[in-house]
Parts: sequence; structure tokens; C-alpha cells
Amino acid sequence: MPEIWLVLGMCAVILVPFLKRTSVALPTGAALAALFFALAATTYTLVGDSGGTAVLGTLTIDPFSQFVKLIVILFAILVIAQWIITTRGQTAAGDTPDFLCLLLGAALGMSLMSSASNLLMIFVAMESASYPSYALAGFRKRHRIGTEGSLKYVVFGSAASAIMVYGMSLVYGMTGTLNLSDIASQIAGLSHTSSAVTGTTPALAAIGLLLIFAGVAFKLSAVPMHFWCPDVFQGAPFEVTTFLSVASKGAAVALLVRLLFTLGAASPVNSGLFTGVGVGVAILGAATATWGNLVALHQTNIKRLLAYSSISHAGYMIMACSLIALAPNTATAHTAITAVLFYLVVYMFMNLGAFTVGAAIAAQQNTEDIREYAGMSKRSPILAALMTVFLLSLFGMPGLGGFMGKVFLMQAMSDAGPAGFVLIAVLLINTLLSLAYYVKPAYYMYFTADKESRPTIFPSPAALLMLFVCAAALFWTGLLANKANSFAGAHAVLMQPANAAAAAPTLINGLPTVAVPIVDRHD
Amino acid sequence: MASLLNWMIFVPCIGAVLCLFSPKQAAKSVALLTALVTLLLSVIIAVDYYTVQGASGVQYVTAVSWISSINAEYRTGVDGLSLPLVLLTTSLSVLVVLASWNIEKATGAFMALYLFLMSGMLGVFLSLDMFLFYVFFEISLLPMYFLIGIWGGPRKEYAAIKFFLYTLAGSICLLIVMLGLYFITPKAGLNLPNAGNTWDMMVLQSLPVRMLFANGGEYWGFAQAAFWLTMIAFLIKLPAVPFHTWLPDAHVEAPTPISMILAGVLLKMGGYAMMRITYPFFPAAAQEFWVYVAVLGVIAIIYGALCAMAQTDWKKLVAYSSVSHMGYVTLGLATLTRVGFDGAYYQMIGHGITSALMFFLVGVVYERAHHREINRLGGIWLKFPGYGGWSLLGFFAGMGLPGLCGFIGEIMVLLSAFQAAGNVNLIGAAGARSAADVQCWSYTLGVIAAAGVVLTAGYILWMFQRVYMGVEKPEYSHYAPINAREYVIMTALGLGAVVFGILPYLVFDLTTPTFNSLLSILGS
Repeated sequence: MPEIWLVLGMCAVILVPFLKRTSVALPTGAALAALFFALAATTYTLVGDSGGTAVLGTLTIDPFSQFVKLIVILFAILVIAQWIITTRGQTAAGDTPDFLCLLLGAALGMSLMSSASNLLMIFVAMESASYPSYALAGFRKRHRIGTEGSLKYVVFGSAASAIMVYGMSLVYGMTGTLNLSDIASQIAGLSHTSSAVTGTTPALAAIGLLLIFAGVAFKLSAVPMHFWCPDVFQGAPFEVTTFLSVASKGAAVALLVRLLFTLGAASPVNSGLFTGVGVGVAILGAATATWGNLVALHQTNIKRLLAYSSISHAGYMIMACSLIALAPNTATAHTAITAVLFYLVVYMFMNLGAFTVGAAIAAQQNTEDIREYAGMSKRSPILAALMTVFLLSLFGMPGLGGFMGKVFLMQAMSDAGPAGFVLIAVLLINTLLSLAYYVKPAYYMYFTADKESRPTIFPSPAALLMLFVCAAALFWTGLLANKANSFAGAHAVLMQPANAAAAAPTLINGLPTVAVPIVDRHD
Repeated sequence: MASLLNWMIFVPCIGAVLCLFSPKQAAKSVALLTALVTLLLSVIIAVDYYTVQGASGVQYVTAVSWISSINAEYRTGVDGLSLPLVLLTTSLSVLVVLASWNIEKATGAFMALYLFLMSGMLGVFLSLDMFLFYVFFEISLLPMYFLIGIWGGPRKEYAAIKFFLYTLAGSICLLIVMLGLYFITPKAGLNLPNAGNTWDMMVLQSLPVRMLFANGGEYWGFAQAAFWLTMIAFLIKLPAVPFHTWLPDAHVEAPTPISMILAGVLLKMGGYAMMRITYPFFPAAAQEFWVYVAVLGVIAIIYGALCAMAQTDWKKLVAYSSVSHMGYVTLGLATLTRVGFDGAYYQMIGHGITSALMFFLVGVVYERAHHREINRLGGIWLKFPGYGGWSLLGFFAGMGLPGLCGFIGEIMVLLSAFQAAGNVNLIGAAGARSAADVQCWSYTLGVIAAAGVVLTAGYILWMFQRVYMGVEKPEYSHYAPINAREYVIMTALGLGAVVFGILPYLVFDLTTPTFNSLLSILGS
């Protein structure tokens, strides 16, 4: 259970200032130690058996959840490293413990999201991922856009949570259980037998599910729940933006996969409701990808540009997730989940790289405007070259990880029949669209002369090391994708929730998990 | 030998990395040395291929599993279709490095990018796996983008991005076809491991797969779409009208050595890919649509020549002449005859030599005059008589004068256009088209294409008259004399134009066995 280490880390980081008030090294060390222990704990369980449950059956521990946790925790470590080597100077020493504690808290919530298999736990996990994120987004206290972004995040987030809780209450009221797999089997029962007994209808279930998915869509910044994303990304400090762009979306994708997988495992083949969910998710993904790319075309702020890019990448992953519901068989679902996990790994490295270059430039030149990257190829050829690698990978240039990620997504899509081909077409069109804005920073860096003769930028050796590691990871996943792909494939296994009801205890916080038909009360 | 082949792809990569980290002068020497080593490797392979292997079929195959979950392989090998183009690439590369000797802006980066481009081009010609081919096809775009975008002329950014977007749009078309092929091949009932999914080009053009794409076959609809999608991808690269507009921009803005390699080799990737992928994969669709393809070719010949005639920018004129010359390649392939294929292929080799020479000739004057306005030039011959002589040879080879390398390809393609009249394959197995129809189209297109020869002579001679004839202008007095390096390049290319104009069997001896099997696939 890596989460325990994260909780301990949070406690340690909070307590450290009592020992030494303005230390930066101590809380950082404590946080990193906790994360490394958590990482070790995750790696240890990675090789474990096919799965089990924990915390009264509300958490499912399976290879899939452990893989996502591995990404989240590893990414938290990388983000702290990025923060140390680029923008730590902008954080007041006294704020360090707060920052780290919030980061660990968010990582905790995201880890839980990847495992949650109970409505209550899903809600708790999402809130514990969200609250630290709200605070992190506004971490630059005197920054106007930061504060604005944070407030928007809170307001949107609360609304989304309320919507999701309402959906959960509908589903609970209808099924009388909080356990996902029980809910899934009851809803599956609804969709093909008449539900005259309970008076509930597939329509009601559909509304409940829709509202729950809306909550997840908020975390995914899926269109039309994406409005917070660019403002938050622009206002937040670089390390927070980096963290949110990958970890938060990764966890939300994991939750989406688990929801769809659990629903699918219980649903009979060609269940109308389930197919409807699949189509809905596919449309959501396609809209998200397309809208994200279209709006990104006009951005000149590197953070906003990458924010919209991250929206579109989330769209690609959502499109692949929809295959779990659209796919005719479990093999395709496995391919789709493998592709999503592989994509997540690649996405982690390319986003980290791109944001780190942005942060390194911002730290020395105090600009986030890509037009001011002019002449960067002369002022810092290494940064310019590395940024180009990351942007090309985000676009999907063959030879880099981003391309293989898209190839695997398409491989999964093409298994899903005609709907899959529509998704492939959407993906290809979007890829072409995205080139138009991914070349923009590279264009300014290479093709425009610097008219104001800005100073040369010297990235620190640590930053360079980190960037080279990211670039190497992209070349590795792009040229020799085998290893990473088979690793993802081995972990694209979710625990079959068939016997989850038996494993779960009867009472969770006093709420019965046994189905209680609502009509009984009316009688 | 197979390992030599792979070294040939990766030696330029190693050279490129060395160039990045060496000072200016050293970078040039490293690049030249790398190009020479690659040339040597290619010559060794060519000699071995001809003497030991008897020039038969695909040789020196390396097949290593690469991305196992999609069955992509690192599969390289050489055959008669690729070998002459490989030799063209490696020998032109040496001259291109020599031609870039004057590049002073970030020389190391220029040479490194050029060597990466070389790797990409060789990779395209040598890969026998669709996926690998695609990767190299795309990778070769990127260095070109930067070479034009950084070292180019006034509108370099526009030209670079236009080149990139056009070719990329084509690549997406190719990717769609690749995905389709990947999922259809298991249906062919081939006894392959891994559920029958494959990217192996030799398997993809084998009979059981082609049966699926036959006229009226199970995937005939897909074959028709795929034929056009791949054609669009490669017609953009070739380029053919109406996808050609990136070419004049790219050429005008690109520095001279980059123009040489762009016209000399990169355009040939389009023609090569048609002969490697489009035609052998979808022969039935090629028979079905031969008229459309042939019309595209004829339009390119005529329209390109007319555009060239209208230019006042010297380099743009040569660029449009490339469009016109590549039209012969399209036309030759469309006829599906042996003569047409041989002619189209020879046209690619010949044009590789003449276009590089013509762009270099333009570059020599541009370097001294700093403009390319044809009407402001004149009397160059009197100023530089030696250069004038090589120019005469170069432009006349481009024009297709008998005895020079431009002639053989052109005349064979024109012959094939008339031959198509008697090609039963084009009439259609079910008699969908009448023999009279085919004959009518064939003669009409042949006559129009032949008129292109006159137009070519027109714009070349008219240009020659305006640039070289007449009296010497006073501003020429400060022009630097032509140096030895420039004479070496002109001489090498000029000799090539003569040798390949007289001894066409140098190419055909290498290609014949491969073309025999290729044409048997096409049903001739």
C-alpha cells in the first residue's frame, strides 16, 4: 500500500517546520523519501498476483491500479526534481512544506482514484485529489492569474463534485449499493430485462451514470468540462501545471477505465445501455481532442498551448477508453487498456520535458510567451533542440514515443469495427491539426531572429540531465517500443469483479451494500 | 554484405553526430569523409550485387523483430529497384557536401542535418517493411524542413512549413492505407506467425494478398481507395500537378546544395514508392485507373513546361522543369508496360543527374550575382566560357538531347504511351473498356506528351539565349572566377550525363531481373 507512505510523508512534511523553521532541504528530503518508499511499495506489489481488495472492499488492488500508481508517484518525484532545478527560487522557503504536503496529498488522492471501486471511495479519492490541487493552482499568492485560475478551479470543481454526488445518489437510490461491480450487475440486469418490479428504468440509470461520468470528465478536462484547464495551467507555477497535466489526468483516465471495465464485465454482449455509454465516451473523447486542438492553434502562451495540447491528448486517451465499451471482446479491451497505459507513460515524459524547458526559459528570461523564444536556437541550442524533440513527440513524429503511442491507440481502435475506424479518422485529422501549433515554438526558436538581443540561456546541468532523460525515454519508446509495451500489456489487467460482492463486507459506514428495492419503501 | 547495407544507413548518422561536435572546417571534412565512406559502401554492394548475386531479386536481407506487438520488423535489403537510386543518393551526396563548402552559417549543424537526411533517404530506399519505410519517409522530412527553414532565402519559413505540411498530409494518407493493409493481410490465409499480421512488403505484394485486392475481390473497394491514397501521398512527393505548389517555393528558398538533393533524390522517393508500393500492391486498381494517372502525368508534363516558360526567376524555371520531367515518370508508370516502367525509372536516374547539375549551374551564377532574374543576366558565356560549356551540356541533358541522359527516359516513356494502346491489361478483364477506347486515350495522351518535348526545348533554349548569349554586362567585372571545386562538381555531373546518355545498360543491367518480377505482378 503505497498510500500509507504518502500519508506518512504528508505528516512528516507538516511536522518538519517545528524542528527547523525555514529549512527547505528537510521537508524536501522527507517528501522525496516518502515518495521513494511509496514507489518501492508499488514496485513490490507490481509483481504480485492478479489482485485483491483493501479497506473493506472499497479499493481494488490489481496490476492496472499499481501501474497507474507507479506513474503517479514516479511523476510526483520527477515534478519535485523539476521544481528543485528550475523554479524553486520563486517559492518562499516557508512555503516549501505546504507545497510538498499538498503535492503528496494530491498524489495520494490520485493513487486512490486508480484503485477506487466503490462510489464512496471514488468520491473521497477525487476530492482528496482535488482539494490540494485547488490550493496548488493558486500557489503563486500574489499572482493575479494564478488566483483567478485557482478560484475558477474551486468553483468548477465544486460544481462538478456536486453533479457527481447527485449522480451517485441516484445510482445508490436505485441499486441500494455503493459497490461498483454490484451496481454494474444490477444495471446490466436492467438493460435487458423488464424492470417492472423496481420501477426504475434504464433511463434513470443512464442519467445517474451520465452525471458520474460528468464528474470524471471534469478531472479529465474533457469538453465541455474543460474551461478551468487553460486558466489553471497558466496561473499555476510550472511544476504544478506539469503535475496536473499528467498525474491528474492519468488518475482520471484510470478511473474512467475502471468504471467502463466494471460496467462491461457485468454487461451482456450488445447491451444497449453499455454500448450507449461507449458511444457517449467516444464522442466525448473525439470532441475533446478536436476542440483542444482547434483552440490550441491560437495560443501564444506556452502554458496555455500545452494546456490545450493536454486537453487533446486526454481526448485521445478517452477515445481509446471508449473501446472498452465498444469493443466486441475482452481481447480488444486489453489492447485498448495497454495502449492507454503506454500512452500515459510516453505522455508523462513528453509533457515533463516540454514543461521543464518552458520552466527553464521562464526562470531565466521571465517569459511564457512563445514569441519571445525568438532566436533560441542561437541563445541556447540544446534547449531549442530538446524542446523540438518534445513537441515533435507530442505531435507524433515517427521515431519518437508519441508516434508509437498513437500507433498503439490506432491498433486498438481498428479492432473495434466501423466505430473504431471513425475514431482513427478523428485521431489522424487531429494529429495533422496539432502539427500547426506544435511547430510554432520550434518556428520561433529556429526561424526568427532575436530582435531584442536577449541574453543566452544556460540551463543547469541537473535540468539538462532531466531533459536528456526525458528525450532518451522518448527515443527509447519510439524506436524500441517492445519493452515498454509488453510491460504495459502485462499490467493492463483489471481484477475481474465477478465475486466482488461476496468479498465485500455487508456494511460500509452503516450503508447497506445489499440491494434494497426502492419500491418496498413506497409500499 | 547485409551488415554493410545497414552500416550504409547508419554511417551518416554517426557522421552527423560527429559534425555536431566539431568546429566549422572539421565539420566539412567529417561530412565529406562520411559521404565518401557511404559511397564506397554502396559501390561495394553494387559490385557484389551485380557480379556475385547476378543482380537477381532482393538480396542482403536483414530481418529483426522490432515492435513485436504490431509485428513491425527492422527489415532491410536491396534489389534492382532500389540499388541505382541508392548509388544516385550516395554519389550525389558527395557532390552536395562539396557544393555546401561555402556555407558559413552554423556549418556543423548544416552538415549534421544533411547527413541525417542522407540516412533517412537511404533508409527509405532500403527498407522492406512498410512500418520502417514510413518511419524513414517521415524522418527524412525533418532535416529538410530545417535545412530550408534556417539556411534558405527570404521566404524560407513559408517554404519550409509548406513543404512539411504538404508531405505530411500525404504521409497521413499512406498511414491510413498501412493500417488497412495490416488488418486485411490476415484474411489472405498466409501461413505466417503472429496471426498473419505483417508489414513485410514482399509478403504484401505476394499473390494471396493481391487476390484480395483484385478487381471484384473481397477488398476491391479498399484497394481502389488505397491505390488513390498512396498515389496522393507519392504524387505530392513526386510532385505532380495539382500537388506541386510546394516545390517551386521550396526550391527558390532552399540553398543551392539543398535544391540539388531535393530535386536529385527526394523527388525520386515519390516515384520509387509508387513502384515499390502502389503498383505492386494494387495492380488491379492500377489497371482500372490507368487513364486518370496517365492524364495526371500528361498534365504535369505540359503544365510544368508552360509554367517554366513563364518564369523570370531562373531557379523557379528549373524547379518547374522538375515538375514537367516528373510527369514522364507518372505517365510511364500509368501505361503498365515494360517500356514505360523502364523509361520512368531511367527518367528518375537521368533527372537525378541533370536536375542536380542545373540547380548547381544556377547556384554558381547566383553566388556571384546575388540575383536570379533571367532578364537581368546575359552574356554569361563570354564571362565564363568554361562554365558556359558545362552549362550547355547540363541544360541540353535536361532538355533531353539524344546522347545525354535525359533523352533515354523521355523517349521510352513516350513510346510506352503509344504502346499502351495494345496493352490488354488496360482494356480490363471483363471488357469494361473497349480496345478502341484504350487506343484512343493512348494515342491522344502520347501525342500531347510528345508536344511537351517541344515545350521543354522551348523554355530551355529561350532561357539559354537570355542568360548565356549576348554581350557581357559591365557588372560582371567583379565576379570571382569559377574555382576548382565548382569545376569538379560540374565535371562529375556532366560526365554522368554523358555516360548515362550513352550506356543505359549500366542501369538496366542492375534493374532487369527485379523489373521482370515487378512486371509479372502487374500482369505484363
